[in-house]
Amino acid sequence: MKQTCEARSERVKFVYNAQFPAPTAVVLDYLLHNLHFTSRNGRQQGMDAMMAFYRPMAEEFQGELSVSEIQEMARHCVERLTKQIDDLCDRYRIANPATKADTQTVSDFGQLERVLEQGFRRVAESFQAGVPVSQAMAAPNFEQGVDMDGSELGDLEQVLG
Amino acid sequence: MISRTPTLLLACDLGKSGGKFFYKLPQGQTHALWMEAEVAKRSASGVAQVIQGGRPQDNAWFRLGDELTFVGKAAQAFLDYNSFKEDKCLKAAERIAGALGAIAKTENLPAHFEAIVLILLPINELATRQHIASRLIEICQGFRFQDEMDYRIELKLSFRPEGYGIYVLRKQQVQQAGLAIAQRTTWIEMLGHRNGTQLAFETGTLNSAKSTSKFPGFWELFEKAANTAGVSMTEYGVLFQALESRQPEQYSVAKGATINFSAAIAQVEAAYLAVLDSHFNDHLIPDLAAGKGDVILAGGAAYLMREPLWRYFDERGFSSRLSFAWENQEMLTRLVAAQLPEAHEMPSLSMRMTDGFGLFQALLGEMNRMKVAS
Repeated sequence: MKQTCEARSERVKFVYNAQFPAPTAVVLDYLLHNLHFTSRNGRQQGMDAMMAFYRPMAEEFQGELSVSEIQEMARHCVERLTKQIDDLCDRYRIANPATKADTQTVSDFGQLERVLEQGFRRVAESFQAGVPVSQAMAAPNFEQGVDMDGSELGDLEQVLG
Repeated sequence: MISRTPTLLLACDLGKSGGKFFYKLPQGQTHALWMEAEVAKRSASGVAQVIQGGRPQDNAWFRLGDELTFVGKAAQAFLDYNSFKEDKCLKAAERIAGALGAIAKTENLPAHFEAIVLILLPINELATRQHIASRLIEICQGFRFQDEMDYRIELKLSFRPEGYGIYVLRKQQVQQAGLAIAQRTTWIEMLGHRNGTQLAFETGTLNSAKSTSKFPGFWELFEKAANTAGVSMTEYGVLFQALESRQPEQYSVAKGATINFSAAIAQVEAAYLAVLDSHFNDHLIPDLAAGKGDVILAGGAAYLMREPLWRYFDERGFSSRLSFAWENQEMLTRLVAAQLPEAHEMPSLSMRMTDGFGLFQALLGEMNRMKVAS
């Protein structure tokens, strides 16, 4: 398994040609031509993602680290991959398979909100169909506002001003 | 003739899911504005290029020295997997500055203007107001919106507890009916997913000792009850659907079959009502039984649990004194539907904007009173 120094040069070059519409081309293009980060950062991000999975295996193949060192590295990689899973689930509002039910709190708010929106859509539709015009005409002119003199704030009045 | 420095009126409700703003210029009309909650900061040298164009609120970013701050939709593009979580935390001053810049650009305001700004904060976070105020004043001493236009804004800031706007709208409603709100007690119960907040206005005055934001939110109870009922996480969405639509039979994609969620619905409702019951018994029911007063329920959980909640109050003989914050909202619904295309995708938007709208009504009322007085 161990490679000899003679078998590898000091530099490694990794070139990959991809042609649209292949997904690899879409991903490389995203990393290299993105308005929000430089192509140098994009390359680094791509490399980080690759390292997060392959580094322990590559080190094992290289054969220069102890088992416990590789285990430590694998643990670090799992942390990284978990963060990537979290970010994907968070961003795309999907259930997180890596999270235990009792610790999951935040990521499913998106799900709750989506269902609430569907409910509101129904309410809004029936509302629009059912409001008589006369009721709308009787509404106060909202440009007048509501006169609040500050006394309603009670003991917070002094504090809030 | 040289015109005076214009004064912008602005009300801000910085929710976790989005910022709700209402504003008005002298001789203008009320405008609604919705901006996503995200904030991202980057050093100018680290950003290769920024897309220009679009609505200012969708492309709100400003420069302070070498630092670029992106707010709302403009920030979302920066928050991809390698970004830091803390970018998503609420940064009130930056969010308000982003809104001020977007409004200034939309309304063609001059480089120097005044703004009277009212801001809602959770009652237990009112202590952070000085921090927010000093940061916002610092930013508004000069920022460059979209790296194009320098704005210097003279601010007059004040803060109100969340739920205040709902009370303002209630006052308006009660006055229209020819009654005075000071003769009654008004309890505002905001039932959120994460926590619950109560504001108690006794004879027209906020009693902060009886106002609390320490009772649990809906989510915690939902999770526990769903687990107890044997509903797996992949089916939460279907269970929500069942709860919201009041139809226990729902098709589960995960199981590939129609499932009857009656038992789970009953457990969720019972668990949530049990928690609320303990809060209500300590902080609401005795006062409600003793005197004149009304309860207004607001928030996403109140909407989801509206029927069991109504039954809860009805069983205790209080249903005639119960109302929901999203009722009687014709004006706001029309305003939001006419001005915000987002309302099409987000039908709950006008309900979410209730508190901010009420806050703005108070600001308009104050301005009109000052006009009359001067």
